Amino acid sequence: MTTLRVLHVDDEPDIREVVEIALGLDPDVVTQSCNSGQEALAVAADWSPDLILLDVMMPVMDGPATLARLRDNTRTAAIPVVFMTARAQTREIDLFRSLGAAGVIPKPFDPMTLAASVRTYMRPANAG
Amino acid sequence: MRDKLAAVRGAFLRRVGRDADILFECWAAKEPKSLAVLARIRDISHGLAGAAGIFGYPHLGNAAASVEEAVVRLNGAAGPLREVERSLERLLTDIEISRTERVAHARRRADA
Repeated sequence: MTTLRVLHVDDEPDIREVVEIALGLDPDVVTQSCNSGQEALAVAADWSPDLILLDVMMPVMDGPATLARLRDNTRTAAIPVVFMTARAQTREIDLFRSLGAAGVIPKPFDPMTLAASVRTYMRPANAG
Repeated sequence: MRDKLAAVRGAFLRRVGRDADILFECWAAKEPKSLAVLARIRDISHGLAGAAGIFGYPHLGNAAASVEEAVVRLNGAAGPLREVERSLERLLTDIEISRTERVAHARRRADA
């Protein structure tokens, strides 16, 4: 199966750790974590992940602002972005999709099924 | 996997204890609360709201989200903050209940 590179962005260290462990359940997923939107912009351009999991509420540069900056860069514009948020009502999901998000994973998520959820957002060509 | 998650969960619970101490200090501080204190309450609550449900404490996550929302609704204004105080009291109570339940659970396991 093709290796999938997932970049996870969250300012909460506990959540970063859980996501790394949870995605580690899938042996074909390689995860890299960032603690801020700014860091994510640099890592995404350099590492070219297959998918970015992006926290919505972060200090300085929040999720939507990070997504906009990713879309402005030709090296990162096409990378699917999935928001992770506790605010996953229909209205918010519609808003995030209108911003260009591939989807939304609600918090709290189940660590045992996170990898499978992430796979549903992978582009078919990369899905293995 | 479960061992790793248990270790992270343990670290999270220790952090909840530290956060509760800080939140209690913020709650007990005399009014009007400064914007810096409100920002601290908001940031700590935000962190708890995001993580608590993942570690099996959805009621704590919801209580923390209520605190965060109450602070955000103030929109940067300081004041009597009754809603923030009420939601903070509920969160601190929930943390205390969770702590008591964990201790009772640990004692039952030790006695078994």
